[in-house]
Amino acid sequence: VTVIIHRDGRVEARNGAQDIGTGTRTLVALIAAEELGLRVSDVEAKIGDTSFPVGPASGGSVTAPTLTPAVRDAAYHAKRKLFEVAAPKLSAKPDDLAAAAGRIFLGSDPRRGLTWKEACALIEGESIEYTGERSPNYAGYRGGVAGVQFADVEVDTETGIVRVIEVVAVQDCGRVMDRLLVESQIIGGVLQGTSYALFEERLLDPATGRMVNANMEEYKILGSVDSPKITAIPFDVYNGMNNIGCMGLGEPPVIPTAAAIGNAVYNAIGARIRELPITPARVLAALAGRKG
Amino acid sequence: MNRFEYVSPRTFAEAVAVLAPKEGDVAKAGGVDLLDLMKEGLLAPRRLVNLLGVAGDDLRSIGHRPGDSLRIGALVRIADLAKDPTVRDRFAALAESAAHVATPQIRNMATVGGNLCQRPRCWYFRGIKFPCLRKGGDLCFAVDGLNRYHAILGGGPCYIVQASSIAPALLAFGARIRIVRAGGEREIPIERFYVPPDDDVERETVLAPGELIAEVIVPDPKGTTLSGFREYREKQSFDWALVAASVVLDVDGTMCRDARIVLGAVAPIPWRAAAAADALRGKTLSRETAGQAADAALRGADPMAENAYKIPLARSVVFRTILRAARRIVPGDPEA
Repeated sequence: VTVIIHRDGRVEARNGAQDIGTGTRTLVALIAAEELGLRVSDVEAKIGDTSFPVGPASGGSVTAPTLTPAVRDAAYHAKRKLFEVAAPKLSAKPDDLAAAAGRIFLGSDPRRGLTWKEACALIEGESIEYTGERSPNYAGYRGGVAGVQFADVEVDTETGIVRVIEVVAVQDCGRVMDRLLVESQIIGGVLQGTSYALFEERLLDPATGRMVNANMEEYKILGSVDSPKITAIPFDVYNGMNNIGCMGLGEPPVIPTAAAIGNAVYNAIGARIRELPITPARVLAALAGRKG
Repeated sequence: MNRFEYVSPRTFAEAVAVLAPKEGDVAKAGGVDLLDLMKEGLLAPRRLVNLLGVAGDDLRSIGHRPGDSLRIGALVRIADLAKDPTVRDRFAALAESAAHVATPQIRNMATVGGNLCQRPRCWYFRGIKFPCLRKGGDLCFAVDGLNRYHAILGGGPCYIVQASSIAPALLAFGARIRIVRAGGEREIPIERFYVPPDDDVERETVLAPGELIAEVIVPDPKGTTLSGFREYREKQSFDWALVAASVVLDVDGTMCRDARIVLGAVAPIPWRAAAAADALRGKTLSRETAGQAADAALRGADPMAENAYKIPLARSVVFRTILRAARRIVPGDPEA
């Protein structure tokens, strides 16, 4: 990740990673802003361009924990360079300076300081630039995350139709950098999990091996009416031993949903469905087996 | 998709004249199923004749003459049919079936004529790689293949299910269809509009090249008529019915003088459950008689390897739809 502080006060954070809807762009700006003592809106996060430093692929639930420590590293070192520029003006040593609330000031006497723009105006040349890296996690880092989900379902025992009324998802996730993004990841996981619990199935014609439902009409994905009420509870644990405290959250919330729904259906009708999706045909067959 | 010419006639007469049987001319109303068929490679029109550019309200309005008939123009949008106050009040099963079509976006685009003429959703029919009977091939792939959504009644040699949600309700109300062609027109009961596969496996309707539906005429129900529609599907958002039922009851107090029960999504045509209607006629409407009618409706069902579950589903939908139709006079509609 490269962080660039321009003489006019603008800040860019650059990396080649993509944002596939998980909030990568937001997190890049957020961490740089936190380190530089600025507002998120003061940082321009530039991503998804091959001319930028190499970023992680968006996958494996590791984009945020791979990228954000490098953002912190780059922003920290760029800030140190800015302190060196500003220190003489404040008759201080770079080590004595701090950055917060849009100012550069003496840690021991916060009144003695410069605004961010005043400090940046002292830069010789156009900008300060630093390319940071992701150092290894600290001792004690535990990458595996855990989650637990609860499902409330309604089963029509005459038709076998299952409705998922509510899912409560508690997800262990390291430090919560942005609550909205974390909840959104959990909600997305529950929606996908509900969809594959009840609907999704790749159907191959037995004679030809061709998939017969390879379109968005016949391959069934849940829609708005099928979506349960979802309560997402981020569970902030201190397992992410790196300079962010962060662990990945992309895929883990998908994992428990179908099992929770399957257990809820069992609890409702007293018969196990051992294959997904839980279709009316399978529920009716399970009910018939229970009676028989 | 192929290249095609596109014309937009100003009047219905002009559209009919333009469409006079010419190889490769295809009429387009909402274009919903048409676009699917073209993208699937099942239809490659030389020219599309757009009906939505036709001026005037004749084809777009719903007219009601009390004691006589309801007339629904072929270009009436499904969304407008679903919310029409007269249809909701006097033809509840029709309004309810229209309200269940696809999604709000599709209901705002799809027309009554187009809905009645849409082609089946069978995945073997829709798959260009499967040379099935309905595409002129020599095999119904569903028989030994994947048939969970296929016909349990009236199937063979092809096992599609009829796709229109509103056709069963129209059939239950005894609707007629007025069909126009260059230099003539004809009016037929909707029951004769649909073609069973053992009559002709390559077509679903009697509509000939160059013919268009102009309107649907529904006789105004006499006496005290109650009706209802219900369908079951896997997804509650945007899915095709596994089974559907339209029930029209002519009642005297709680006595059923006459009944018409038509099932959707169980057979290659809208399926009139005559035995179910017979079971109700002259009886007092109750959960018990509704159950007897529902049992009768499925007698003769002949499922394949994967679709036997549709029998209890269809039985249930008939039972509950009778109770829904009769909910003002018989307590106990399970989903009221």
